[in-house]
Amino acid sequence: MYSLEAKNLCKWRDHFCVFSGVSFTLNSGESLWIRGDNGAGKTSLIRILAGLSNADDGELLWNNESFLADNSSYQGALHYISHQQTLISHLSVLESIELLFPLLGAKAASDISLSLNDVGLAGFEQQKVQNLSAGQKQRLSLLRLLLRNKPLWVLDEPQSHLDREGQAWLFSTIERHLKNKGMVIIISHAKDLPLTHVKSLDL
Amino acid sequence: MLLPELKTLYKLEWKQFSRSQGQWLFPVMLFILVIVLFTLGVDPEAKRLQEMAPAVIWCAFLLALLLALDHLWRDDYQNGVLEQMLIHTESPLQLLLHRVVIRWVLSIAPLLLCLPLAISMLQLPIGIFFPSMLALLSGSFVFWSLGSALSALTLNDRRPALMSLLLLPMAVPIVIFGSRVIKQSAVGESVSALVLMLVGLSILSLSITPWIMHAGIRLNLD
Repeated sequence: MYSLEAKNLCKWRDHFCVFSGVSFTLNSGESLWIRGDNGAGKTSLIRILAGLSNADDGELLWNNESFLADNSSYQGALHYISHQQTLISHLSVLESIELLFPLLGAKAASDISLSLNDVGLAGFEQQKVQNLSAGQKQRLSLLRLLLRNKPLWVLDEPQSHLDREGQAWLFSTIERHLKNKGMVIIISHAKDLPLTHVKSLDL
Repeated sequence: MLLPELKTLYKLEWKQFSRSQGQWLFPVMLFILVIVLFTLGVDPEAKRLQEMAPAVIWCAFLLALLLALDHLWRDDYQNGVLEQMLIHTESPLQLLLHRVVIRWVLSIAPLLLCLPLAISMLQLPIGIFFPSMLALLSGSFVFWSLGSALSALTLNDRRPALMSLLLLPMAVPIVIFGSRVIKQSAVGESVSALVLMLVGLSILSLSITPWIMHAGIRLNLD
């Protein structure tokens, strides 16, 4: 069982308060939907949760221990998918999986072809990333979630560029992860998320 | 960093280098062009060329490296790969250091292959090749690691010349020591003290710059 708790997080940028007083608790099997208008600070918050940025005030607790004190165990438990696709354009799909993803915390442990089939990229193994469509690139980015099992998924607009079928696959994968006692934090501009046990946080 | 992770990093860097569509050729061309323009621009008298040659080789070499330095972090910073690598590795300092060393080797190797050509164009004795190569290896590493740190600190800065303007003044001792190596070896004098000085500087830079690089990148990510 895992838990993530944020207490009164606050972020400033150039004397401007991006957000303040952000608090939530997330346990295994739960998801948090971060909502807000453009510029509300959703990405700033998620970058703090991914360990890329520091909060100016407040505290983050991972399994009841301060995030700062136990950074490595937190980051070992984390999959962070940013709104950038985090791919190198002149690598092929297979090279991305074999050479890039292991350095991004997702070493392929099982049969890669099964995972490629799952995200609808079977047959594209030798295709260069630069020749994939935006939706296919997003599917390839999301493949990292399947390659290595980690309890906490932090996803910044993961359904962008995905078609209806891709979105259905994404949310069923998230749902399966939650059933397996995982945790998901998601930024989405959708009107509704097809997930059970979803908490929302408005910025 | 664990050995398999390192092997993957080296393979990834090699793959990127081999797929860079000849990007590595630009510094090489700059190096050769500077030497060619210089030899065409001054009196072709051998003695005068030889007097100026050490400084010309060093300036051309460092300018070529400056061109290669521009791509060290920027591409992977812009596509989000760098930030993901940093949060998913247990030892970010090691990761950055290995990356800097790999990129240095890949940038400097083609330039060193052109060194005999530069030596013959500048009418220097070919016997200076080995000491010059040693000096260029150690001196360029100091320049490269300082450049890596400055380039990490200025990642978000949109003024492209800023890093160069900060870095080039730092290259003064490297050019002075490095040129003396070529000059002294051309007249058959011992250069071991000067080469050791450059090696010492490269060890010093190696021990300081990874922290600056890491701090610079984290600062720009925040």
